Amino acid sequence: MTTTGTAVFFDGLTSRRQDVHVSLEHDLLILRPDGSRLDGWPYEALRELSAPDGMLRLTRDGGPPLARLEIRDAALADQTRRVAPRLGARLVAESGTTRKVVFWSLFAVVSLTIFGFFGIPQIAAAVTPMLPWSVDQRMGRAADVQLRAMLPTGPGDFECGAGSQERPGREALDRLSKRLSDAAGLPVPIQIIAVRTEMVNALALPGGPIYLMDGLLQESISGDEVAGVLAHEIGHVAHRDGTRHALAAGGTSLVLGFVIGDFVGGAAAIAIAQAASEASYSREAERDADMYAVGIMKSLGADAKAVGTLLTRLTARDREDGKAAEDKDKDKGEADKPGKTDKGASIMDWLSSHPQTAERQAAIDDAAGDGPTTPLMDAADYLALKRICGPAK
Amino acid sequence: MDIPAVSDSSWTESVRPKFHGSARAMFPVVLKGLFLTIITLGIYRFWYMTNVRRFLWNNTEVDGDFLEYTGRGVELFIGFLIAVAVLVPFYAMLFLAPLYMGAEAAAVAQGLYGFALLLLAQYALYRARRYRLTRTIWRGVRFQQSGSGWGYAWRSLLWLLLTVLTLGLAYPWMRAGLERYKMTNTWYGDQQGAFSSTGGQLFWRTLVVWIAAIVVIGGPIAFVAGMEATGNIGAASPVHTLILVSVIGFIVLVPVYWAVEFRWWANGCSVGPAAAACDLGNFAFFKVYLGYLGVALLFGLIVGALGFGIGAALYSGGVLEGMSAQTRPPLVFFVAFGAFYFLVGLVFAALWQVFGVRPIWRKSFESCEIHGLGALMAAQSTTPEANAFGEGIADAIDFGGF
Repeated sequence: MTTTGTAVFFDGLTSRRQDVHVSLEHDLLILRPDGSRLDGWPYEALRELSAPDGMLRLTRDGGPPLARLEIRDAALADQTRRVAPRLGARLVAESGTTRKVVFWSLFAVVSLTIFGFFGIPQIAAAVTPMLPWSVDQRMGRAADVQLRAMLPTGPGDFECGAGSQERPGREALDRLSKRLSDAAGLPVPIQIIAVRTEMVNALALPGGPIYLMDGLLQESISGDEVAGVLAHEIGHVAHRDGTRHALAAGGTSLVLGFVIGDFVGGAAAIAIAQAASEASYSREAERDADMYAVGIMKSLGADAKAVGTLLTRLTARDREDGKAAEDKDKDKGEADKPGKTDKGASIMDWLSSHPQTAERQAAIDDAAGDGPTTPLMDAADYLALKRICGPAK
Repeated sequence: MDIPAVSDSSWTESVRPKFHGSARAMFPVVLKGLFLTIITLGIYRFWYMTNVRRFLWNNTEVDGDFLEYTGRGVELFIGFLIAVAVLVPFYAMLFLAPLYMGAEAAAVAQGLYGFALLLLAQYALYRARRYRLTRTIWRGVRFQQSGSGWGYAWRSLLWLLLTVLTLGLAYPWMRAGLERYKMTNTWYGDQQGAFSSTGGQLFWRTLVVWIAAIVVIGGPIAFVAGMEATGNIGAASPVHTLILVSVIGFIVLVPVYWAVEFRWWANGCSVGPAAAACDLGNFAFFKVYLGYLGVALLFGLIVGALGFGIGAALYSGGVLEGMSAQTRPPLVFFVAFGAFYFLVGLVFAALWQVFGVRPIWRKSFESCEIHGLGALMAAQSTTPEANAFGEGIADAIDFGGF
């Protein structure tokens, strides 16, 4: 059994290299070449440090932190390993740390994901009312520019109502939007844009611009239905849902981008996070917009039930389509892509962002109450509006 | 007092550091680290980086004694957390500010932000260097860095401005000025570092490379432009050849430039009485890149052959024909493909560490001779170790060494 051997000693105070003898007795004794005692390290205090292959690098727990004893004699190193009980104390702790780190990292990712998808929307909801309305308007203008480039439209201008045949429709829409926006009394002007596309949809951008798509206009059967949809979208503007949404999406991608770093392609994760948070508004937001629309319609003396009838009718028709609709459902994710403008898919668009139609209609009917109503648009205006994107095909 | 038994030769002769880390020993470290980094969505990267540094430091021998890296992954992780705490409000401000302002004010804000980020990047680089130095031990004595991160950041920014104003002509003097600041603030225990190379030396030594770059890259462009002007563009093949010459020239010249600059830098470095003399070959780094390219190509061929083999086996087994009858291949197919893609990416990243980073490290050290090392006797520095805040910032704004 080897109990002595040579080693290299650094006292951790100077860079002086000392070739020493090591003797394993009651302690690990470090001896000068002449046999005099230089230092003695208790076995419990010995700690192994990372070292190149073939070297045992030791330090003494509690001693000068950079004191080093380097044993390159394999037999002596083996023997030292045998007698020192806590040599690997830190190493065991480190491998434990690795497991802990893996565990806590996963935990951190989970909690950050939860924070990202639930906490950030909450923060965005709290911050949004503090922002001036000009913020919404600036966001809306930016989104408007992007959407005009992205949305697939029919031949002609993006916005309907410019041509001579389309002008009466534009005037009818202006009259309707004036009545609606007067009733709403928002601090920002409402600008309704009739979009030349077969998509059956309407959407509100932050701070005022509202897209009314020709596809939806053609599915309507009365002026009040169109007014109801527009009032609903004005509700989104009034409640600043779009602004809140954009803030939340920005915050989420920021947080995820930070944590993930650039190694695994932070950009991809950010894109996913954004796509996920750009899904529909929450059910509450939809319901609140419905109630807002009902309020406006009632204040104008119009049929508030019309707020939901168009949606209900589209859902019912979709159910009748049965099997065909199911197939469309699978393609839902692709429905936003340019060129995908067939009506089935577009309806699915609208429905997918407006769930629980029966429940909503019931709530709308409840709030609307019964009573005499007068249509918001006369028959001539409604007919003109339906032709805002050109004569019926 | 005993006379320390130091090997007698080192008092008079020069010493050449040696690197003992083999590719075979490094591969498991890198592969495991990258794998864990991916499955922890990047969080493990701090421990992975630490393990790679440990491998590089531990296997570097100077005058019979090995370097030691005492940094820990958790320190880097904490540095990262601090950086997040500081940068998130900064980014949030940046995100919100343009919403409150007009277009011009927003543009000004963007400019200010870019400026701040540049300053912060330089600051972080300096602080990260301090972290690495204070975690580097040789013969039981720590390295140390004095000076201030902001002082360095301002200097580098002013130099950068001067370089831009002189159309790059001041670049060698910028390098010299900044390296001088870094090295005179570098300490091994109580022994101060120094930097003796000058910008003029760098200018003259790299002049040939710059001229070659102008000829190789600018020449063909001028030639093509000339042909276009005279309407002789019809012959397409010489144009392609010229573009190829440009690209190859660029690939060769960049590592050659780095090698020349490294030699200039190392020759100027000294700590106390010990000074380095570097004889790195002009093409040393280029050969490393070439070696990595070869290994990567070989691996690519193996993967390609494997993929072809699997495809052929599936085809002959009639699996693919069965699949085309269905509208969609089974999910397992996608999962297997994804896993395969993932593994290949992992191995490529690992190959770069093993056949790129490791040999560059090795050549950097082994090309230097250190004179006067025997006279270098340092007492431990009493300045405390630096934290990893700089490393955290550097990580968060996506740059930084290893």
